Amino acid sequence: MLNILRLLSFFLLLATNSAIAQESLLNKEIVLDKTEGTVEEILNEISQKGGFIFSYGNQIMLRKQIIIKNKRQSVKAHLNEIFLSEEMVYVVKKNKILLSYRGSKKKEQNENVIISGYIKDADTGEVLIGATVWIKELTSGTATNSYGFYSLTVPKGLYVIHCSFIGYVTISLEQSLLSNHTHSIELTVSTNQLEGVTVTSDQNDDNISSADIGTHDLRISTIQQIPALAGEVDLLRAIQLLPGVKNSGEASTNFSVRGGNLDQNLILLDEAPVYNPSHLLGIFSVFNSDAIKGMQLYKGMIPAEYGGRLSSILDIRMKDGDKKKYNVTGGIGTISSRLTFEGPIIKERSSFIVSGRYTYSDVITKSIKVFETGKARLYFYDFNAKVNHTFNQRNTLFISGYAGQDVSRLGALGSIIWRNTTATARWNHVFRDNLFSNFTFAYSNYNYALKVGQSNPLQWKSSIEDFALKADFNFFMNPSNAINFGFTSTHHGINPGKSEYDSIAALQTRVPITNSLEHAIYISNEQKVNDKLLLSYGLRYSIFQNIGGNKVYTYNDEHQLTDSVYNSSGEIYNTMGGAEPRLAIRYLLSGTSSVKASYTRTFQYLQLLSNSSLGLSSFDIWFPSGSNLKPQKADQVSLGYFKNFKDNMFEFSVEGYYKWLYNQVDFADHARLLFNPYLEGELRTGKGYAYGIEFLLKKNTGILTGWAGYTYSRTKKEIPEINSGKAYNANYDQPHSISLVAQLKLSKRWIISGNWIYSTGRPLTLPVESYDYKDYSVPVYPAERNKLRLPNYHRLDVAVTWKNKEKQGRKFRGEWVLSVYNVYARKNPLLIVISTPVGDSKNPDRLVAQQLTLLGFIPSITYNFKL
Amino acid sequence: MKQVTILAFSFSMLIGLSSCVEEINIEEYVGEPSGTLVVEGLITNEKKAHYVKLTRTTNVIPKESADPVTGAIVSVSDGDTIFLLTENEIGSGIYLTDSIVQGEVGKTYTLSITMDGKTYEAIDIMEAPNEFDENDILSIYMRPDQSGGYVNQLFTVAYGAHKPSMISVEIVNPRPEDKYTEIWYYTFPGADVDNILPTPTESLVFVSGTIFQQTKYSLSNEHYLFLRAVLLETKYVGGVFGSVRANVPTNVGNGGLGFFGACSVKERLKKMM
Repeated sequence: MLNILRLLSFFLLLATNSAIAQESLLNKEIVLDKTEGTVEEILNEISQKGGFIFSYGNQIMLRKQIIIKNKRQSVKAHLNEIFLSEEMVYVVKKNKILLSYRGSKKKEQNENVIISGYIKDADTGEVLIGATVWIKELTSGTATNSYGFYSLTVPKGLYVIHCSFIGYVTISLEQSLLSNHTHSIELTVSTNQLEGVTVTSDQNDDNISSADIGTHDLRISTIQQIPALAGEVDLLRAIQLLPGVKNSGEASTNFSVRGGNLDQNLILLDEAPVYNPSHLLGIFSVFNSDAIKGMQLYKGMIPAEYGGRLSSILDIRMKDGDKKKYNVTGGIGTISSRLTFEGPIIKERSSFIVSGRYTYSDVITKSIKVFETGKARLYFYDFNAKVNHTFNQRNTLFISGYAGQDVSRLGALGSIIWRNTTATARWNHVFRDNLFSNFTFAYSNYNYALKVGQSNPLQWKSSIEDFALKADFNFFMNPSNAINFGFTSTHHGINPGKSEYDSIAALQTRVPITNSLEHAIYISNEQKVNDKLLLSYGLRYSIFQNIGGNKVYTYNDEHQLTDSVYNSSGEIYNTMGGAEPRLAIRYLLSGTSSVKASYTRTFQYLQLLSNSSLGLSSFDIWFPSGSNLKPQKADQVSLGYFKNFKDNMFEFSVEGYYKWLYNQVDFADHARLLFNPYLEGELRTGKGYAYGIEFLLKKNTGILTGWAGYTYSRTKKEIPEINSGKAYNANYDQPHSISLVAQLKLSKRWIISGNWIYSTGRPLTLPVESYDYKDYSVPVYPAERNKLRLPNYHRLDVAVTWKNKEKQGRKFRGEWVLSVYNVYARKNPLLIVISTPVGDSKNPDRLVAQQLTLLGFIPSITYNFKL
Repeated sequence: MKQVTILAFSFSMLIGLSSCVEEINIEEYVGEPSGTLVVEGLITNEKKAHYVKLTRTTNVIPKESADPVTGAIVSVSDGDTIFLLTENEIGSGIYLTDSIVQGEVGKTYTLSITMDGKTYEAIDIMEAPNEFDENDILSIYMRPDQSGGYVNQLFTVAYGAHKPSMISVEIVNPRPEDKYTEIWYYTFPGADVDNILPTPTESLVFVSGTIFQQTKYSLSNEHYLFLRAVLLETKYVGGVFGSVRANVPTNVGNGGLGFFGACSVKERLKKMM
């Protein structure tokens, strides 16, 4: 745009030019002090001594080094010498000399060229996601995509390209761009940050300049500094510290985003969905921080390439593996230990990473004699692996996988075992310098088996298995338009539940297996309308198809079974779908502030039926939409104001949102989820809504970093058969929440970090009276569901990190992390129940109200190392 | 349910022995009881005096027995005949029919209560009797004891029945030291997550010669759902994996609570050899 304005000005001035004036300025004799330097420096000296100014477009190569032979000569002669081989036109207008290329040369110079490539970590060769490439002269830039690739279309010329990423030293490269150019850039970690002194390196102002709203980018280095429960660095607990994200209970890594249900968050690990992200019943997440590069949370404007969930997308990327040298990293903690090995297979071209984690809680469990047989076991393990190979600048292949298992055996009581497996193969292909593509094959399997009893146990098994194909294209059309398009197709195979029991035939039940296909095509464009206005708009169209080979039950309006139909194998007997428009607008108020707005529609075709309102992973059943269950749908609007201070050292944002939710699922009173082939008859659907306002103040640099967040939000459901059809508080309705996260780098070796969180107590339904029936005291609940609340939740965690002294030439690095969860031992009740007392053998039949507090004061120590 | 709760508790022991279960004063959360009418009544196809017990709701954690409702006008109708019930003992809240009243399978019974100017009605259908089958607890869980007697593990619910039933076991000639003279239990078709597999509450030893008189009551679907909900809200309540709590359904209209059931019965005797 600026170029066009300059060109227009040039022609305007040309038309009114005076030949006399031209000659007078051009003939003026100038004696230069400096005869060697850049074009810009020489022009500046001529300009100063001549008392006039030069005006020129960005096609002039200002950084070109030149030598002037004649110090004393006319302006015109100087210019001819400067632009020796160039066909230039000098036009004088009043006190200005306009410089421009002549004829075809000018046209050529105005043609666009593309600079593209990857931005990587200089130390490891890992690509950096979201790094910024910026050309100041053009006020134009871009950011790397999920594979570290960037492409920028610019007019031919000589530019200074600035490349930056938070935590890395910004570099500026002078680049003559006369033809398409591939340039991979390596950034070095800012050593200042490690040394614990004030860092003033350039920071990314993406939060202001991008159209992203309701988005958080958390890097693993940030997450690793947050105090962790039992020393286990946990991605999912970290995002619960962000505004708009709430935990689903003290002991759960599951989370609710902007009032949505727990199943309304799509968690992707290298693009493969993870259906149960929990270890140890939900207390830890399955993600091993040593194998993770970073993650992006979308809770407002969800880009068109993502879909399938109403409330958020959590896109987690595994590390690729160090391409330059071999590393071993690990940690020995209170609950588990981990070990990671990574390195090049072919230096700079291919690498691998393998990472494993194993808990030794089992060792302790075995020694506990509380169980009948003394054979109790309780443990988990997980394993991540990834290899990649860069064939050439245009082709890269990635293969990654995750496998994890939880085993909880309670001797004679039975056991719960669950497994997550994911595998992803991706091929990045650059068709053209401005057309990047990624083709993905993803596999995901989550299954669990519940056994009750030891000899002849009753078993309940459930699973979900996905096979997905995906193609994504990033077309960097021109400086003002970046188009993304693609498609995805997924096969879901769901076994909602099958029971096995030898003794009682009636307990050998099976909820019909379902197979389904979920497809989507999408296209979106990020359009820079002018320097202030940026639009991001797109459309996703999703289709869901139920495939036959199973029995489908039909129910009447009273949810009673009326009939069943067997659909032949492979037959698509039900198809549904819809358009999902996405729109985001950013308007720059100044260089440091902007306002943004967005609208997002999403569909969700899979729902998690959970017997637990607390988010503890146990007997969850994934269930597809179908002829008895419409897909969930949401419309969300957001509005936000973003402001940066002190050279992006501080970021401030306030975002408001309103979300309309349709076809929300809840259960009939006392619904039976297990051993029930007529599961759909237990479901009730209705609408819901959520709204809120989120404040976030973040400090990115300096010895003290962190953020403070406050959220006010409400979320309600309205389902005809529940709560007499009146709106009631959803399980995750917690109006006020505050999170404070801080990290203080005391020195090169000492770091103190802490976080404090507060939230309104979760809603609950408690009996208000009771009555006698036979020998039972039957509770009576109030007419309104979820009207009461648990006490407000708050907790302080701190951690101290002490790094070993670094020695010249010694590769080994180690650090001790002492962390304390719930420093002031706040008793945050997880639930309140009225039942017979736990552990009171004297009066076992007495009825009492009890509150369960799960996590009190928990100190832990971890040793981390790298060699 | 208990298994999983123990699992959660045991893990919390591992991670710092930090969990705790504390008794709290529930009155801080809830108000005073409303004194709503509660019905517990049953009519069967046996020729006997059938009962209806009327009480009122009390505190969440009852401090004493529920207040009986006395002086109510109570009747049961089968559509053709109205049977009046009289309070067995004034002030007891227990109302009885004549001892010659006998219900009929397939008929619909309507209980009518008039008190304090309000009338409450409850309706139930008497289903056909359920035959004894292999799922009945005495068949499954009675095991010979090393001492020559029999061990009977007491369960509240056994799953896998073809039709839901309520069963009473009367111990006809108990020894003086025997703890129970009557045991009640249920057989339901499906299992519930709150009580995945029935766990025995205790074991009783019976000697040879003990006679058990089993009475199996048929249940209408509404009656079964009521009893199932009662158990989910009482015996099997609690724990971190419990489903969302809800009020127990009722067939008593006009704001009343409880259930009036109509059941047909089958009886059999079982003697420990």
